[in-house]
Amino acid sequence: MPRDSDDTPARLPPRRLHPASPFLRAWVLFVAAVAAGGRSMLDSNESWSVLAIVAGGALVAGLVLGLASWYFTRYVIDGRELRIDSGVLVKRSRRVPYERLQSVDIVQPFAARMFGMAELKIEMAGAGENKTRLAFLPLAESERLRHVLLERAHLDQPASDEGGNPTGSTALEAAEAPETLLFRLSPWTLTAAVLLSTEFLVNAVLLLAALIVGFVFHLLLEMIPVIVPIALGVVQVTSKRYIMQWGFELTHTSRGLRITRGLLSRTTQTIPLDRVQGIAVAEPLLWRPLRWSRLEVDVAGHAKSGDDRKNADESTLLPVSDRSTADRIIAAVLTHADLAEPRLAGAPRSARWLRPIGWRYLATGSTDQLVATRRGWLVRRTFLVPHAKAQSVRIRQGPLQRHLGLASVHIDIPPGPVTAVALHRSAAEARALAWTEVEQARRGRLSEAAADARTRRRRRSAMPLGPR
Amino acid sequence: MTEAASSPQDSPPTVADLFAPPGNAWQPVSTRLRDMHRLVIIGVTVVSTAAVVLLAVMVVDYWWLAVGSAVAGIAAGTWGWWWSARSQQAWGYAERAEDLYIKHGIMLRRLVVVPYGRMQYVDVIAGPVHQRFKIATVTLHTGSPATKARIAGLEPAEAARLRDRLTDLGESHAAGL
Repeated sequence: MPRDSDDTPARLPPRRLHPASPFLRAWVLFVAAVAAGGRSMLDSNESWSVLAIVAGGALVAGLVLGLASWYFTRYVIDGRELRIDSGVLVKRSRRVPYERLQSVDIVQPFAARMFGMAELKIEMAGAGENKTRLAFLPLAESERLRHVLLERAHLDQPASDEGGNPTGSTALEAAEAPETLLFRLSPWTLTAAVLLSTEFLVNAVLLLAALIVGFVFHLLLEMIPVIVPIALGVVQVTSKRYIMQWGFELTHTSRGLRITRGLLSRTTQTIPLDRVQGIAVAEPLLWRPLRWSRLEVDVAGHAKSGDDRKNADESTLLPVSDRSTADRIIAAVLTHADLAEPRLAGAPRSARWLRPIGWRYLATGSTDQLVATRRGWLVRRTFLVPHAKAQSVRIRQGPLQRHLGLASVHIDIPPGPVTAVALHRSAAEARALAWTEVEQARRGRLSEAAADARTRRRRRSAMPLGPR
Repeated sequence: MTEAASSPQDSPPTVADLFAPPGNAWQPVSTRLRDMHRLVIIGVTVVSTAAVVLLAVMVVDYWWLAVGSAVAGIAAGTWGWWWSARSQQAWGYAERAEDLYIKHGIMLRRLVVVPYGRMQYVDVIAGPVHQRFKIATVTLHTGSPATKARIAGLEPAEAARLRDRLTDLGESHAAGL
C-alpha cells in the first residue's frame, strides 16, 4: 500500500484494498477445507473426502471471485467525496460526499486482526442505506483514512475551492486537540459487573435450582435437557459480555468520543457529540449498592429499525463504572447541559393499580437544560434528554388511566436506547409537563441554533435525515 | 373498531383540561370522515350479518342463530354509527406560531405537539374510499418514528393548504436533529 504519499493532497490516485482481503474473507472456507481434508486423510471415510472436495471447490471459487472483486475495487479520495468503484460484471460506483459523512468506524474481525488488517465502515446521512465498507486495509492505513475523511467532513466549506487544496488541511491537523483517555475498563470490574448482572444471576439461580432438584431426587440424567440449555445460557451471557466489552476504552478526541472495545475483534467507533440525542443510565438491582451504572447513548442515525440487538452493543457508552466516572462522562457528552441533578418526583399513588411494584420507581424531573425520566425495578433506568433534542411531545391517556386520573407524557427522540416517557403522572401534572416541555424545547432549539451559528458549525439540517 | 366492548365514559373534568386546546379551539376535521366510517361499518356489518343469517336459515336451519346474529348485527351497526360520530369529533388540530397540535382518540386519547422546525417531510394520503368521500390524511414525519402526527379526514383543499404551510414553516424553522 502506498503510504509514502503526503497526507491530504486534493486528489489521490485510485487505490486498491490490501491484496490479502479475499483470503481474509474466505478464511472460514479455508479452515473448513483444511479440516475436512485432514479428516479424509486420517480415516478414509467417503463422506469426509466428498466434503473436502466440496469445501475445496467452494474455497477456490470463493478465492477466484474474491480476487476478481478485489482487482476491480478501487477507492479515490478527492476534494469533495470518497468514491468507491467496484463490481466485476456490474460496475458500481458509490460516492460518499464528505458533508453527508456521519461516522467512520474501524472494525477488526478476529482473522483480520491477526494480520494487522482492519475494515472501515462508513455511514452516511440518508435514507437508511447500508454502511459502506472498505475491507481490508492495514490498520495504520485505515486509521489514516478515517482521519482524512473526518477532517474533510468537518471542514466548514468542504468544496469551497474546487480542485484546489482543501482548506488548510495541514493547519487543521496541527490544531488537532490532544486525545485524553476518559475511561478504561479493567478485567476485574468487567468480571464483577458480569457476575452481578441481572441476566447472569437469573440464569445462575435457575441452573442451581435445576442441579439441586437433580441431586435431591436422583434425576440428574433426566434433568439434562433442562440443565444443558440453562448452562449454555450462562456461558452465552458471560462470554458475550467479555467478547464485546473486553478492554473497553473511551477517549475524548476533537471529533467526539471514541470507543475501542472487543476481545477477539476490535471495534473503534466515534460518537459525534452534537449528534447525541439522549443518555440512558441503567442500574441493575445488584449494582445499586455499589453505585455502579451503565451508560447508553442515543445517536441520531445510528439505530436502524430492525436490528436493535446489534445496536445494543453499538450504543453502549460505558459498560460499567462508578458514579463519579459516569457523572463526568455524562457532563462530557451533554456539553452544554448544566448538570444540576434534576430533582425527580415520583408518580402518584394511584399508579399502583397499573404497576403494582414498579410505580414506586417511576419518576420525572427536569432542569433548564434537560428532562429526566426514570423507571424500572430490576434494572432502574434514568433517561436524560436535552430539551433541545426533543422532536415532539405527546400526551397519552388510556381508559384505565383516565379512570385513575393519570396520563403519560412522551418526549420523542430518534430511535435508540433512550425512551423518555413520564409514565402515569396525574392529569394536571402531565398537562403542565407537556406544555413546559414544548416551551423549553423551543428555547433549547433556539439557543443551540445560536451556538451553532457562532461556531459556524455546518448544520446537518440542510440535509434532513429522511425517514427512519 | 374492536375497542367497542364498553362505551367510553363521559369525560371527567381533568380530562377536559388535559386535552384542552392550546389556544381558542380545536380545528375540527370534516364530517365526511364520519360518513365514510359509517358507510364502511354498516356495509361490512350488513354483508356479514346477511351471510350468517342466510347460512343459519338455509343450511343448518337454526332460527335462533339467525335471530341472534341479526340482533348482533343491528347492535354492531348502531354502535358503529355512534362511534363514527364520536371518533370524528375526537379529532382536532391547532396551528400555533411555532408548533402544530393534534389530538384524537376516544378510548385511548392522544395529543401530540410537533414543532414546525422538527418536521422532515409531510405526506398527504387518500385511498380510493377516501377519495370517494373527498377526504385526505396528512402525516407529519420528524426524526423520531414515535411522533405519530397524523390528521385524518381533511378536505382536499385544506390538506393541500396544510401541507404547503407546514412545508414552508418547516423550512423557515428548520432545526433538523
